[in-house]
Amino acid sequence: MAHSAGSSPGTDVKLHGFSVLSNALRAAELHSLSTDFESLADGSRPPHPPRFVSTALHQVIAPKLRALVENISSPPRARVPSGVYQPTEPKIGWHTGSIAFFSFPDYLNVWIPLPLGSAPNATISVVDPSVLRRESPELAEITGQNGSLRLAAGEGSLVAYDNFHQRYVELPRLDLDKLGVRLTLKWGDALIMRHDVLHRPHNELAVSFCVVEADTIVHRDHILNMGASKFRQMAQLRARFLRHIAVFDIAQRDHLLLAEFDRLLAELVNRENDALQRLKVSQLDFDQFDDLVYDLTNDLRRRGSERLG
Amino acid sequence: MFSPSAPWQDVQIKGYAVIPSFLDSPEISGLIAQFEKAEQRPLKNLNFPTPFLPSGRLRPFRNKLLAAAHAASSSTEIYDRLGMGIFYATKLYRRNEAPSSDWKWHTDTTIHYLDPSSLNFWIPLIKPDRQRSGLHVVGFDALEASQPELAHSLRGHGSTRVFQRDGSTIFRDTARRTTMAIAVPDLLEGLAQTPALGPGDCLVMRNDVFHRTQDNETDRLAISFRVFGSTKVFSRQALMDMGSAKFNNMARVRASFARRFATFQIAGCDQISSVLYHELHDELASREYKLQLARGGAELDDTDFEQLVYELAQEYRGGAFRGE
Repeated sequence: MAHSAGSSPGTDVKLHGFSVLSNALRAAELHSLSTDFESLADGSRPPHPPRFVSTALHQVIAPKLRALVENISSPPRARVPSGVYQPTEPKIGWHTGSIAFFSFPDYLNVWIPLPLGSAPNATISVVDPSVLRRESPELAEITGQNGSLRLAAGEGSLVAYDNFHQRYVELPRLDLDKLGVRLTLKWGDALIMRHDVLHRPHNELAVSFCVVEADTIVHRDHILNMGASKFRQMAQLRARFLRHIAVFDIAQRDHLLLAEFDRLLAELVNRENDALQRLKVSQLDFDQFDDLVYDLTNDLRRRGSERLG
Repeated sequence: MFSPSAPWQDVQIKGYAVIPSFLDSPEISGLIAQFEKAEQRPLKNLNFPTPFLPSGRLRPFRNKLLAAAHAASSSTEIYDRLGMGIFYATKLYRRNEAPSSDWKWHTDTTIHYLDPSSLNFWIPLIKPDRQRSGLHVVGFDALEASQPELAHSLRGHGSTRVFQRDGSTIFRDTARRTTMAIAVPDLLEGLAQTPALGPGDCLVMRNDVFHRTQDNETDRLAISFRVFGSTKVFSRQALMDMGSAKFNNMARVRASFARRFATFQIAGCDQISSVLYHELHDELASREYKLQLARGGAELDDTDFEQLVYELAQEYRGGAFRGE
């Protein structure tokens, strides 16, 4: 596999925040992703909620990406919790990822452009964090400490919308287009970025996979620390984040190892599916979902007592 | 008009009181006409089939409600700001196929998340039978006598749902994320009172009083005016303290809670006075509404909403909106 920025992909990610890996996915896999995205269109009026890669396809693609990331610099074992489609929204401009950051403060973003129309390749601009640190230490600090940033030109300034800490930071004007590197990716190439890399896609559609270390600890407070924009996005994905928050209710803990989190999430989803079938409804109402959480909490506590007994 | 005598002391002690003939016939007919218009509009609160009285239509009732709320206030709990009017119609519940929380014992949720104490002036406008389709309530005097620890824990709090499991009554506070099981089946049924009410009579109750709709067998229409305190300090943390049930509730009324979060963002701090909060919140709601109208009614996307909040924050920093 070829890569772009420096000596090896692992070093590139460590020093420059990103690396391009060629031929990460095959044409058939890209086609499956594009088809999956199209099948998720529900005809609703915008603003559309983000669309996640469907479970079956995620299970096919995730092992490949995990191996890809594990290969780049012998990092710890990786997990791929989610993949989300990114139709390019010109209004958004320079940003760091938000949905993945809502759950994980530290992750790698595997960004893969998907062919749409007749463009021969895809382009995306990225800012090397080491360059940013030199040119705008203040923005580099904000970017390093936070995810979910969106940048926009203000009157004589650059405004950082920090959706995680629900604040606006006004910075001296900075031409990020000049500071950034415009990368060209062939179909099938993947851009691996750290969560703190500012980027701005130019093509129409991509899919962005969040990759984290297997021993990541998931923090309840991190998920629930929010301002208006984060709340709006989480509420658009109500079913997803409802389950994530419920996992902590069920465990009655504020921190969980990712493996524990995933195990409880899977059990909750199974019970939810059982309840949907039993009650013959398409979704659980407020009380029905809370009943499920209550019962699962008690079952878990009972199992724990039996083990201790 | 109102003296701090018997019925109002009941609000402080039991948590509720009945005020006969609180609204007169013209007021009742006017509100029925407003309901008929309100039920034609899309529902704002997707959790419940409960249309709102437009805020501009609250004005004629303001003095009467605030005088009553003043009489019900104590030295520590002052109610002096009329917040909203919500219609509760049994015919809308019957139309709604999903089971409603209103038939189960509860204290109110959505309203509680920002301001934990309020007064609910629940007034039937149409009620064919004084003995039916009203509200069952449990007074704190009865709860305290039966379950003193439970009463102590629940006093001053809302957003609790009640259900039955294995012969116990379960109290689940969805804001504080606490659960209590009392080994008495149907505990609240045994403690309940059902005030007989006719059109215009008012059941006034604190936000921590457990209640449930008696039945939906008759065509009953009621309005519920909510009165809050203006001396409170609101915090972003109170919104963020949540478990799954609270998130579920808030996310279903996404636009409304996004504005609540955004209000803190405009002020640029995590705690603000009730007066400033409402000034900023109402300005945001009004501008968001106007922008939506200008765009043919479409909801603002995240970028445009963020821009609107940023502009208001700039204006606030420039000296506008001082919460006075």
